[in-house]
Amino acid sequence: MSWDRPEALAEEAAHWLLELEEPDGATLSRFAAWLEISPRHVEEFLLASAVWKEFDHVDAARRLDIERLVEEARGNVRTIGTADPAVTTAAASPGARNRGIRRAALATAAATLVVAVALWYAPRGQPQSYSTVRGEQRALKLEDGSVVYLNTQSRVEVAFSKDVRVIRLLEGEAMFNVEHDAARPFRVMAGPTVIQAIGTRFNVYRSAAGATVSVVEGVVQISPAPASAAQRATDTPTATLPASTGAAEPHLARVAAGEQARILADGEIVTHSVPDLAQIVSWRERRLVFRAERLEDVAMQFNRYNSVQIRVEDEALREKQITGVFDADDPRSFLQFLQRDSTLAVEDGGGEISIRRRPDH
Amino acid sequence: MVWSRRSRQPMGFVESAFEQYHAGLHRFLMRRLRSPHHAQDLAQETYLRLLRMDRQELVRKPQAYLYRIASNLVYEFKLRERNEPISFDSEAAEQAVESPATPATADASDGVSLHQQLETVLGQLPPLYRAVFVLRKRDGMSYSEIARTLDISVHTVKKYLTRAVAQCRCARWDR
Repeated sequence: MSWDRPEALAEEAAHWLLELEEPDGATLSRFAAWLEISPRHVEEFLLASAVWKEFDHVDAARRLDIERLVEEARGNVRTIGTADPAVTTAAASPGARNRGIRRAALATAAATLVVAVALWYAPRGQPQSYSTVRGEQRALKLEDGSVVYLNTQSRVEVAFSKDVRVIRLLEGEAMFNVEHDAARPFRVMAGPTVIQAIGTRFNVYRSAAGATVSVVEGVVQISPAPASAAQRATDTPTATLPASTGAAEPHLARVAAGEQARILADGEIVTHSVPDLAQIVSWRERRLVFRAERLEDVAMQFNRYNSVQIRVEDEALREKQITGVFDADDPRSFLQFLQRDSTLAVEDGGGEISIRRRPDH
Repeated sequence: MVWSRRSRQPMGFVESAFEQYHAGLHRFLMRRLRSPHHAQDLAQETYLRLLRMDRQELVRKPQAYLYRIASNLVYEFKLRERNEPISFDSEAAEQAVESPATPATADASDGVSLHQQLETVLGQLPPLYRAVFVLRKRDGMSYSEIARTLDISVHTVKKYLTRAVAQCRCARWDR
């Protein structure tokens, strides 16, 4: 396995430590799943714990003055300056009180925070479309406070009305952090499928094979879209839930936290539990986590993020099982991992990399 | 052994987890910050034992079990190192493994103490990071109290703390 950025794992460990200080309902099982990924995760968590513990008596003499630190931060605004160009431009936050402190906070965090874009300028009823190119990720903050994280090569259309919040996932993958609003259901339409959520966190991935819905928190309801909405992608959605359109028995499913539903091309829904919730959300840290997955699928995942395309040449090789955690932006570290297997030959042609079985094996 | 508690934190999940987190383990880990690769054996064995646990049980208190397993292992390592026949005066053995009074400070032989070095790293963080850190660790504020005090979001509070811990963890340690 390869971890090219040990700091990233250290940060993840610290994240869990701090979540556990004030845990919510799902924290424990998600943390347990995270620990089970590898010994490195265990190690980093232990080391983060040691650091945190070591600071139990920090500034016992109370020499540090919070007011002064805040003033200092304010003074730094000018010198810290430009934000990371990769970060989406921030719109002014409405009702931002105490601008000095807030601006200081933003400037300090510029390099690390994904600043959400406020979308409430969009006129009501006009669907707004947002997309990412290969390798890009982006966070959208919606007018109701919900957040959509767009993964690489993805496109959504946001159509909110006073009765219903509809998002169409036209391509790719998105994670949704839904603010609860009983009066306005939140629906994600992925092709012929509607996913309805109430105050929850879930991920939807559309691929050629259909769609996959993974629920991190709460429950979602999956049902077929009404025929009209499925066909005309730009239609203004109606507030009513899609009723059965009469034909065959509609496929319905309730998917709870820790479960994943695959919606096949014919509409059939297959639900199973996810051994590792961290795996679902890992893409937001640009990490790819594989547990005994087919080499061909693994290659396909890397290809979503990178212009360098990996090809698995031998039929039999496509079924080879891969387990490991990789940096989505670094297909070559994955290839190094593969090269440790002496039965494989990796040919790096610059823009395209092919993997085949060595002739003598 | 119970470590001192922060003044305003209610006795709860975190505290009970830390009760299991013995000083011996803590000192072991602090030394490993300087030579990171040595924690691998401990992590490897801890990991295997975690996987062997009943899943339901692990999910109930993952942090507490993790610390307990790792603590036990540190204790086992010590016993093995000393190559002594194991006598079951467990209290005396624990005394030998754990330093009684000062869990936080490093070994005297370390010269500049690791603790001082950690404080230095903390001091080099941006001022707001330090403010968040001190409000949490010194004043025992909740995340939302800190957010209100500094007029930032809870998310930002956690982000700063996360980065502060990670940077201390990843700093280069000179002897």
